[in-house]
This record gives sequence, C-alpha cells and structure tokens, in this order.
Amino acid sequence: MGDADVQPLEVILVLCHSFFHDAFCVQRPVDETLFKNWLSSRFVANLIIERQAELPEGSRFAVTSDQVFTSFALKFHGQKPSYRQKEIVNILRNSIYVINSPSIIKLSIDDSVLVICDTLYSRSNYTPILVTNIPKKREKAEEFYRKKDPKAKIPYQIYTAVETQAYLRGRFPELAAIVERRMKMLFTSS
Amino acid sequence: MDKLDKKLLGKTMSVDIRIRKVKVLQGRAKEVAGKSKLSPDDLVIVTTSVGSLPEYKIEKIDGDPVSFLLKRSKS
Repeated sequence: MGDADVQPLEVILVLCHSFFHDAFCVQRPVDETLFKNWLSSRFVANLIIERQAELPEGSRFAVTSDQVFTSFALKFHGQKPSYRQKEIVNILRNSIYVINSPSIIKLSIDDSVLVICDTLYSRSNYTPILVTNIPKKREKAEEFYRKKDPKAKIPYQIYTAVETQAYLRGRFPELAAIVERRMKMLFTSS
Repeated sequence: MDKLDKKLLGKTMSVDIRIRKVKVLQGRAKEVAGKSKLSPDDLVIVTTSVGSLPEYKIEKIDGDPVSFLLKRSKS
C-alpha cells in the first residue's frame, strides 16, 4: 500500500479522571497553577462538546472508560442525583464516548485509559492523546509498557489540559475561537 | 438511546438528550429549532422523547456549554 492510500489519522482525546474533576469543578481556584488547569480543562471540555455537536452521530472525538466516567458522575451528583443532575450526566455521555466493554471494565481506573489509548493507537485510524492533570500518569504509563518490555516507550502523547488546549488551538483554530468567544461570557457574566 | 430513570421521568418513554449545533439539525428537529431565533452556529440541547412519533424539544445554550450545564444542574 502506498502513502496515497493511507488515511490521515483522526485525533481522539482519551480523558482521565483528573480532567473531569478540573473541567467540571464549580469553584474557580484561587491558586494560579490550579486556576490555569481549571481554565484549560474547561476550555478543552467545551471544545469537545462543541466539536461533538457538529460531528455525525457515531463519530467520536473524546472517549473515556466506564470506571472514569462513573467515578466522575458519582462525585458530581452524589448517591441521590436530582433530575437535572442526571440529565447533565446523560448529556455528557452523549458528548463523550464511554467504553464499557467487558475487557475494559475489569481493569483498574488507571489501566483502563492506558489500554484504551494503546488499542486506539494500535488498531485504528485514530491518534490518541491521553489528557490528564496528574503528572504521575506518565510514570504509570511507562510502568504499564515496561511490564512486558523494559525498553518499551509510550507510543502516544500524554498532555495536560494546558498542553491539550495549546494543541487544539493549533489543530482546530476556528473552533477554538468560537469556544473562546463563548467562554468570555463566563467572565463577563459573573 | 439512553433511558432516563422511569421514576424520575414519571412515565414509560425513552428520552435521548444531547447537545447539537443548529446547522446540523434535520427534519422535524430543524423545524422545531426554526421556530426560535437561532443562528446556525448556536448550540442547543435536543431532547428527543420517543413514544410513537418522536417529539423534539430544543433549548438554546447561552455562553459556554460547561458553565451552562453546571448552572442548569442547580435549577
């Protein structure tokens, strides 16, 4: 097969729990670093929703594991969700593809997203980016690969929300401009 | 299609709720959106209730979607 036959790879964001926690945190952090994380996570979440809103149904731009999403949902609404809170979770489930296949749900919360990234990278036309605000995630990914091969390297990018935001601005400039415009209201209305 | 809790919904009906852009809506959902003053790039929450013939409810999102959803969850 020649290069002309190779389909361009589609970017897909694989979301970790820390991303959800920061993006949907109601309180605006006071600490400068935490504020940057919060704002970038919010930007990335908005861009995911914005992009998924115009993609054909069935196309995916962001995925996570059922463990990650369920953990986020429980923190978001607690054990007794209100009707509105449950609606929000259902809306998000339709903007972010939640993988609940038997082979994924038996894994730990950390390993589940690493396996999703590896699978997407290895057998599809997606180029995954793992989005996490936990610096130790990279070490965990390295350990994950070195279990089988001490020389193995992580084959995909691991970005923080701040890095993901910068990447998405370059990759989707028009969409990023729309998100930025909508988010300006966040600061002018509060 | 996601099924909301029947107790919360109060009746046996499938409900799908998702965010779409006005410009990608088609058919009757587009007709419903057309009744409101919406721009093609506006984001809307489309609630589809499926009894026999689906019914569409369109709600405009003001500002960024995450902030809108968080505010909405408290209403």
